[in-house]
Amino acid sequence: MEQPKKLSFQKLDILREAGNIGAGNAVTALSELLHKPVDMSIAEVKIKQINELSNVLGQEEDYIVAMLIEVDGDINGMLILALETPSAHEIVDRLLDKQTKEESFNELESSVLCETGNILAGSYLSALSTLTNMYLNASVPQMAMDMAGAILSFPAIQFMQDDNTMMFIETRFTDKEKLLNGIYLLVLDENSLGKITEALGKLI
Amino acid sequence: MSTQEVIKVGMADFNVAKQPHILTTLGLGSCVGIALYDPIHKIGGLAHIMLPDSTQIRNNSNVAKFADTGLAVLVDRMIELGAVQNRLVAKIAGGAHMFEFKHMDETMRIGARNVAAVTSLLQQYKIPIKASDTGSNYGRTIELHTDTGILVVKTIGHGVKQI
Repeated sequence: MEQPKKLSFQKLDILREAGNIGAGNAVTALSELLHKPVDMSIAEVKIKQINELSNVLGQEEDYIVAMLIEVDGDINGMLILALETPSAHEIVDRLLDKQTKEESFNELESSVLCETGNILAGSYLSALSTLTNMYLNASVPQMAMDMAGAILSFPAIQFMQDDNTMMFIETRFTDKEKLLNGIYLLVLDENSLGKITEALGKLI
Repeated sequence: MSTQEVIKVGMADFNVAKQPHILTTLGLGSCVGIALYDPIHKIGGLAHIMLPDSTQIRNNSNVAKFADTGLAVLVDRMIELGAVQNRLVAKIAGGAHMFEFKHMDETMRIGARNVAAVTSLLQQYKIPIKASDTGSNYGRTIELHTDTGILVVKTIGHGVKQI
């Protein structure tokens, strides 16, 4: 068994702060879009082995809506916004002022959801970029509605090729009525984690 | 006959069992589930592999993560349990293409590469593929029933089938 990776307290602190600022900005944007308050958890930095990954976005077979944005430039990462399916409907319903059917979205509803993901990811990444003074380039978001395990296999394969652990900064958000439950994961490779802690470390 | 158990196989994991037990792996995306079966002794094996080739990766100690080393260990463990190699048949599922990123070229389509690697390895082992349900863009949960050799493939919005 290989030694699990550990980060120093100082690095963990810095990364948590990066997550708080990025997700904080995105959650503010969401709250403005929906005209309602959205609460956010404190960001957590997680280092997971493959066998611990299954419940990161809920149970493997949970039906979720996820938006993935590939991030390159000065770092190599992936930003994932995952919503429980009813929460995705809640967002679309509020934005389009209508009741969407459970299960699926039509083309307009999907594009509204995708655009929302785009705006939220943009706020997350621009806050992180401003804070670290790094160039971050975001891909067009890709959306999928499927089993949490199947969705998670995509970042897992990309970030666990040479590694048996996946590192990410996790922030959860919810509203007062708990109608809106979502999670942000910023998955980073080890090199990118180092770059972020180095850039932010200089500010302290 | 002992009580039927459902044995869960995680990502980059494998397991073997005799009838009447069921081997299952949940939420396969781009990964591939390899189900092997000895129909005479009713012994099943299931591996959930993530990547096609261990020789391309430096840190390859986790054998069940790769198609080549995963299949090798799965066959070994089934033989240990009493299966006969030249009687084994295979069913495979998974290898979906969950997300489409613009800059991605063919080499990045890991789901298809996983399926191709598993198919060619099974040929090398002379294990016939009896059925498969691979590709497309959705996730799958699979169950190998060791009493019958049936592989149940469950999806969200794309039905349930037995192969």
